[in-house]
Amino acid sequence: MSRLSLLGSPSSRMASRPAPRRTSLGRQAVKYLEVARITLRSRWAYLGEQLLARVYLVIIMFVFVQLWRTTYAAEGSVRLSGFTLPEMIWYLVATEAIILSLPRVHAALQQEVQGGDLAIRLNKPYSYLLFHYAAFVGEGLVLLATALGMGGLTAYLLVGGFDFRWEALPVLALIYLVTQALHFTYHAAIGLLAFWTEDVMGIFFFLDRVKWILGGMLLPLDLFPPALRQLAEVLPFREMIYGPALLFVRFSWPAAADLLLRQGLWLLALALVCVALYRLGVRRVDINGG
Amino acid sequence: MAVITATNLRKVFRVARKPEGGWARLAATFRPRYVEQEAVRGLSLTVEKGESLAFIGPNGAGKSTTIKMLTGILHPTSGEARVLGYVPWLQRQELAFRIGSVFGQKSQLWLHLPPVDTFNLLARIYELDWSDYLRRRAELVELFELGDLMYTPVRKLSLGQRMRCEIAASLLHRPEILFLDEPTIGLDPVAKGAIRELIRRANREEGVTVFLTSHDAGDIEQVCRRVIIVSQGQVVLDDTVNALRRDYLTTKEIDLKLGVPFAGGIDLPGVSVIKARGYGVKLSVDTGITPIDRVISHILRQYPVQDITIQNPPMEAIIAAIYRGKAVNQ
Repeated sequence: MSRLSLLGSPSSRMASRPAPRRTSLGRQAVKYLEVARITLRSRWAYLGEQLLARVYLVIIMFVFVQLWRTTYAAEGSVRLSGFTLPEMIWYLVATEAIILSLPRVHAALQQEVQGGDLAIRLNKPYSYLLFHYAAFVGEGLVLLATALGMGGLTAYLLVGGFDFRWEALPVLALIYLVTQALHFTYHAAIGLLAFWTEDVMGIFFFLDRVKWILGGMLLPLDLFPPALRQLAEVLPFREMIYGPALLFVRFSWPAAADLLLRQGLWLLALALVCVALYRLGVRRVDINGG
Repeated sequence: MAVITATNLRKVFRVARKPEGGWARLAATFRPRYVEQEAVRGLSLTVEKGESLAFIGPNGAGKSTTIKMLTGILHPTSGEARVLGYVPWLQRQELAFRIGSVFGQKSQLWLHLPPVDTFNLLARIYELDWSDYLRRRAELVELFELGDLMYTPVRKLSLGQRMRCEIAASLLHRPEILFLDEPTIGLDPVAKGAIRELIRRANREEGVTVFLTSHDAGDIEQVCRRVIIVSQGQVVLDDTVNALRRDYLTTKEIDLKLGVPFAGGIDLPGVSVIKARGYGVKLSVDTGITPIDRVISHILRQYPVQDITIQNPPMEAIIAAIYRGKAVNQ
């Protein structure tokens, strides 16, 4: 024990902390864009496998088309709650594309918290949550391209196109990014529960299905019973699935502005939940051993 | 100048205890019972700039927990620490710009991409000037002989090649302290030798302070000048590697596979047979009494040898020897 330290008092040492480092917003942005880019490249390396995995979407879309053709025929109407058959199918293409383009960030967080990989992440000079968000965006874009491509092609071959507003494409792209951010905060918040519980997969499975149902993944909210629709109105899932998918098939500028506003508010609320969970969780992280 | 100081650092983990039996387990879901495990018990140390320190001990000694507190990943239960003036767990991101870390069992490289992509990402993460980064990368590629490895997907690299890339990546931003947690774990002797040489050069040529945890005595002897041995969360020895070598690493173990059955006859002072069965024999050699080269020449004169391995005694044996020494001195 020849070199045990003889340190000064805690207060004297606290006074000499180095000044905080200042990093420009531009450098911060480049950092996270690079994370998104490398994640996109990593996912792109397996594009063939991605496309193969999307074959099941062809089957799903085929089943949807048969079901809705029968429903429209039984109703004897060209429109159901304002949707024509092609609009209904393209609405489902949009909802499927949104859901299928979400990387499994909850599983990644659980793995890192419980498997110890958190050590690799936490000793780098970046925000842990922003790192995962950037990776979510990068990976999600590849998933979106394959899901939208395969689902869209199937829908086009089965029911034809619809009146897509090409001039709204930049706004729809922005809405998609905000939608994706909303999903990220929802999934990440569930993943961060791994700081307290051993397995978040069961919680995720339940909450994800609630999101699917009340978000209008399989059925537009317009067709919901009034009580269920009222419930869906006050939850964030409407802004995560139904809102953007509806705009995709029936775009209007006022509806887009309204959706962006509502999405922004929910994003703020869910992001705060995420940050709070992370800050509480990281203090109690127990990475024991090597 | 001290770059690391820790005073009475302590870390207690709360671990949920799973009772046996279905009902007891169900009850524990609602009223979990915890036991406390004290991984680090009031550990104090100081590391000077430019030192190469081996922080070693058996499994469960608290090595990794200490390194994780010093890099800001874990909050200690009590005690204080400063690394380059920062309180690690309060200023983790700022500290991260000035330290590097390598975890032997965890990879920072992107598995499906070549290392060059991770290097580019790290350059952005550490906010390096791009032309400076390219110069630094070229230096490290040459020093670590990475060449073609830089453009091969990480999943296709051997463990030794991957570890060379991991260490180079962690030196990219010119860290002042390099924390290495079991960097040679799972490597073959050749790869271990290469990794040790690279760490030694980073320390000697670039002045990087090395803080290395391992339970491989070879890592200590070949890389570090100073050694701290921890056991059960406490420092049991803090001395130079030369002193450790002189006092505790005097014994080597030789594993032999002979061409004929072993029939005794290795009667040298300080040499004893630990185990012998058929063609195989394991010897313990006190190199302070008889040098290892004399023992080997003696064996080769007596027996045809098919295979030979020389090993340090396991860390547990060294720690037991340290405790024995303390008991004798007391």
